[in-house]
Amino acid sequence: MDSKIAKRRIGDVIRVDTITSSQTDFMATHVELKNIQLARTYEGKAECVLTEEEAFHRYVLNPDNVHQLILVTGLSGTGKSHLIRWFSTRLQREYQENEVVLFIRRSDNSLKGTIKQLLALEEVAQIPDKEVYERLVRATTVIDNKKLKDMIYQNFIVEIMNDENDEILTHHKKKRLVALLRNDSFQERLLEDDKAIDRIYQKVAQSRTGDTRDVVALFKAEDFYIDAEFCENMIRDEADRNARVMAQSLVGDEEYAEQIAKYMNTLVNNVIQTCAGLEPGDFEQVFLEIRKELKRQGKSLTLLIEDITAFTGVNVALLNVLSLENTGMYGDICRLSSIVGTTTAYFEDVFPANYRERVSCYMRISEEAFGADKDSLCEFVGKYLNAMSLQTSVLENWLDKGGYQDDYPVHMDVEGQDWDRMTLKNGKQVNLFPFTRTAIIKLFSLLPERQQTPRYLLRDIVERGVRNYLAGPELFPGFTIERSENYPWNPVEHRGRLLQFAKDSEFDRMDIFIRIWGNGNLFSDMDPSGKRYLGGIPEHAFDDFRMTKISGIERRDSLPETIKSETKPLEPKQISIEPRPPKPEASPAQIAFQLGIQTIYRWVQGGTLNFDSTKRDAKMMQQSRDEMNRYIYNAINWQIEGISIDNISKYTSKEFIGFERQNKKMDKSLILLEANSETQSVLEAFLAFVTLGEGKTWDFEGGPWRQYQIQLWFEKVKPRIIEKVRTFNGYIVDYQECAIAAEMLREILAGQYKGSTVEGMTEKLLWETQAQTVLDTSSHCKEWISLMNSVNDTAQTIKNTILDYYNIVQGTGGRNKYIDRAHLNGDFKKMQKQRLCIREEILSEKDPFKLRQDIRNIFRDIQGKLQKVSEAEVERAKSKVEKLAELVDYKSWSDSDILDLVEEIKEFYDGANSAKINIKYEIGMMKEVKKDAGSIAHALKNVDNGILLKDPLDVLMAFSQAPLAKIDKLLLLLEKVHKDIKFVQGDIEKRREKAIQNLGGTRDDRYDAQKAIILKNMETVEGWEV
Amino acid sequence: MFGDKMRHEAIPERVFALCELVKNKSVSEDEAKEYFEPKALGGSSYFPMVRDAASQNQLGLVHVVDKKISLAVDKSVVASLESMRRYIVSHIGMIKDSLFYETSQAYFDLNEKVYQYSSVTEQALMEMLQKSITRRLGVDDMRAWRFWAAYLGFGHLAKDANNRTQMNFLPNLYRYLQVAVSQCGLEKNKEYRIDDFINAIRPMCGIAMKDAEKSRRLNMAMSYGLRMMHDYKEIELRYQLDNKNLWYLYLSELHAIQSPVSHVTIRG
Repeated sequence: MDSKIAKRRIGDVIRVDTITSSQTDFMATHVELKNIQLARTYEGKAECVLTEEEAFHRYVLNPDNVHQLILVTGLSGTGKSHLIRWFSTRLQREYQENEVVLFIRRSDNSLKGTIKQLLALEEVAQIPDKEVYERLVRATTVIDNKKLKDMIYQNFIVEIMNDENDEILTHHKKKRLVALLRNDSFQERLLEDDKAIDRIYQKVAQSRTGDTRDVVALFKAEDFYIDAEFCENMIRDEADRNARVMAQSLVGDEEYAEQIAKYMNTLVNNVIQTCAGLEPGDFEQVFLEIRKELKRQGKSLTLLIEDITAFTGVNVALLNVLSLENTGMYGDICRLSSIVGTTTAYFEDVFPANYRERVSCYMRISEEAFGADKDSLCEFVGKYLNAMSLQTSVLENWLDKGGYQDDYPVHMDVEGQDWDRMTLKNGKQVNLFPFTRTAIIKLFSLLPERQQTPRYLLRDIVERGVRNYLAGPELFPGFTIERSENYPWNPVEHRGRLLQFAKDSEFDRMDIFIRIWGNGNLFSDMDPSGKRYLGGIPEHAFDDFRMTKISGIERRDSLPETIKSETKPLEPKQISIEPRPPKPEASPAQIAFQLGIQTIYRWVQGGTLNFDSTKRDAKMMQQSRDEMNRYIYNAINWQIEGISIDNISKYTSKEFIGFERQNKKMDKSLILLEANSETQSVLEAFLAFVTLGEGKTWDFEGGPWRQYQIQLWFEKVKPRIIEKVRTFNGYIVDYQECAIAAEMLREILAGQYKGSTVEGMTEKLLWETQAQTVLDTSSHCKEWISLMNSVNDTAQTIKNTILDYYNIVQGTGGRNKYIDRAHLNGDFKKMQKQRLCIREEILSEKDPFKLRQDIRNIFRDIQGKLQKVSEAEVERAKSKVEKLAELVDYKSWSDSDILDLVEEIKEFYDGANSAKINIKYEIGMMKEVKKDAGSIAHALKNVDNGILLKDPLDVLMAFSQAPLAKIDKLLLLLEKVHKDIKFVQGDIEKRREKAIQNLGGTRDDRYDAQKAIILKNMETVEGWEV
Repeated sequence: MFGDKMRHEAIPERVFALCELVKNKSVSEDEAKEYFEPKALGGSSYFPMVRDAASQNQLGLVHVVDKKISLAVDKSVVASLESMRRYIVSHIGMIKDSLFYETSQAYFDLNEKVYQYSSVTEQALMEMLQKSITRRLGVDDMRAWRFWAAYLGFGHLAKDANNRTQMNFLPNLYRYLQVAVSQCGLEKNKEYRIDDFINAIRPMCGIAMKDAEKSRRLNMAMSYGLRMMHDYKEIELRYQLDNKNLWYLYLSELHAIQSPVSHVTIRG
């Protein structure tokens, strides 16, 4: 390349519109077309495949001198125009007497431009019908483009109003359509850029860009799609009723829209002609006149039309003329051989069916034809690159001398010396700098399927690439290359090495360079001449683009006595001296992996890391992150690291890692991974597992190395994760201690612990006691009973938590428990020492693992209620003791005191019975008090002590065995005795009164006698206090 | 566990717990069993398998005489699971004649072929291992093997998303080699010939060098373990171009030490 010249020439040489490039550039960049399919019908099988030379000689030169209409078909940009222009050029060189060659260029792609070309022809100027000629001249008069657009629109309305054909639309519908077209809002819509009127306008007036030229100037159904909102606005604006009805009926009715579009298209030709100032039949007449004139002069006509769409508006008339044979009544017109270019889209959509049979043959240029021949592809690019590095004068000189291939000029290399070259037929070589054969073929294959044509190759690859290089070699290749992931690294781990050694600022272009220009690896090779290659690219090429020198990787078989992979055969050693085709297409997994690493790279460069199961790349990121978490969970030997399996299983999300700048909340992740090269390579390794290993295995090329990178990272990150599981907010995890304390309190509240001190408690009660305990409601205060009920609700959870926490599990665990007693005992003792208490300031800290926090909450709830429960229990005890004191003269009784009391009660009842007073004692009640005298005395003692206690735990312990229930037994007895004594006293009083009346003695005698009895009774109950 | 069969009940944590119990005084078997597996909790007993693994016939951590269990090693050995690991690694020869030892050797020598299997209990893998093992290898043996393999530092346990019950094992002897190197008796910061280094670690690393003895080629697990130590700057591997005294690491083109090693320096 000679960049000084190329900077000036690139704009001229690379013109995607073939016709606008200069003749010298056209010839200098022409590459022979070899795959022209010749068919008799449009759909029919090709009769043969011709080169352009063969097509030229057999058909274009028309050796049999017959009337013919040849259509050159192909997708947009496949090279139809190029071929037709080449035919034209060749015809001029193969000059034939009596043959007039008329080449109708597409020019600016408008009818106006086409007419101008016609007027330039000498034969047209000589036609006798001057009226027609004048109209043609008028048609080229420049009309203000703005006015023209409106004129087109209004002419459609005029055409509809004057159309009497109701075949497609009824009269009423047409009336409503006119109303709709007259609506300002709708008009505005249709006049928008790229809408129908604009497309038609481009054909009548002047085109703005070369790329829209293959767009057919017709209405589409979409032009008449109307939504409800548009209708509402029409109502709001009080639009014409007919317009509203039409709009309303078009809402959601695509079929109707299609019908309207179809109808409008029947009017296009008339509108265009009217706007161009032509009358129907003008074109036909002009051509007939030309043919007559030529016949008169004894000449024949070869007509080359680059693109039939240039005749939009008059194309039917044109076809009439072209298909008219010079026989019979038309014997006065000359023989016509026409070669007309048309896109397949135009042919299929617009070309009238009844004209197809008039076509003599079809020359098809398929898009495959261009890319299939790799040599032609490279020659094509090479010639453009060569042309832009040559001064125009050099090419003109060459063309002046005949433009023979043997004399084809090749530029002197200023840049890219010793670079990949393409050898032409004449033996000369064109330099492919800044591309390589491999790059050209790969880049071409990356174009979308329908754009694998010369036009897009030039526009999207050659022009972008060269302009990119001309902006500075240190920026190359930096132009946009879509879908580059289709050429992934192979082996994938070589990318990691590039990441390691390339500067951040140049990684992107080196990554693309090695994958697209080279073989996607960093293998170092040497050709027999000693020239070194890196990834299939000559090492000096890296210097040409100012890239960092990367030391290559020796191939396995080049290392001395090295172990070779047992599972992966090496690819055959390849040295990229001679151009070679790219490797077979990458697998979907490789493509996915490449896409993923590009996503990761963008993140590291400052982008966001997206996790989303509905988008391909974000889903891969999500899967990779999940695999990372899964790996961490399985690889850490939790028990060995001192983390109970119960602890880690309570971290249900298992989101160990989060990423800087991820799109998801990170509050659940234990550690945050920075967007740096280490995270990048680890995330890539997991991405490889997900894509190349299908999420199942590391058994893929480069798998062991990826696995090693993960292990290397894992050992580093492991302590951080363990620490995060072991602690929270700076505190050591304590939910198991909470569970132990909760269980111990439960055992106390339920009375399952019989002792009176915390120190006396043992961990064995954990498995020796039942979780659920129902207490007699009379045994404790209601606060105690209530707490006990709520403790019961969570008791089994607490017990399970303890047993699971201290269980030494194998694998995923089994039913059997193997208790880690050393740890259990240690924590149990700790809780004893803390008197089953955990400071509120610790409990108020929230453990981020919800299931751990749940346990802590249970304990916190119990601990929070202890004070109230203990106070209520003490109050209840106090009231019992006061009651006791009301009934008897109570003062720290022993069991013998209680037994004596029972005896005296017995005597009371016996005495009453002997006095025939109708009271009887409850023998069971008496027996029970007698039997429990010891425990009642003990209870009384405990209660006496308990009332004096202040510490809630001490109170709970003091009342744990329900002493008040024992005291209740005594109280029950005493209350009955108290009641009976009152009865006895009443009975005696009654008896005394009755005796006085019945015995009739002196009042004093009866008094003395009664007194004696009373005294005796009083002796019996002496000492009783009631 | 370390005899002709491997028992998955006898996991390292349980062996350690037994050692902790008898650290200060001997305990009867019945007491010990009740201690770990209280009758009130029911179930069958794992204790006998744990006792056997720790006993004088296997790891030699405890003595079992007349149904009394006492510690057979210095108390410091059972100060922690890590100290116990270090002891077992340095005395790995004690279990040389065991299915565990044979299985480990066979597993390491599969190199990256181990990645072809989804689980250590996959039939095809066990058939492959069986070819190099004299004793009969069963599914339960492999289940047991993975626990001790992970504990001793042979690599990482892994499980893929779809594999809920089975475990795979990804070999890398880094943590095992850390112990071996620290106990091999070589001086720090002094460069040794690779032969001297290998000879020094061989008593502990024989379990991972079965195929390496003649070929002088270390398997993948050993190689990546040494590379990791190199990458963490715990040792320094070096390849002197003209040196004939070489050992070869399992090839890794992307690592600074691709394969041949001529010298090793232990860093401190």
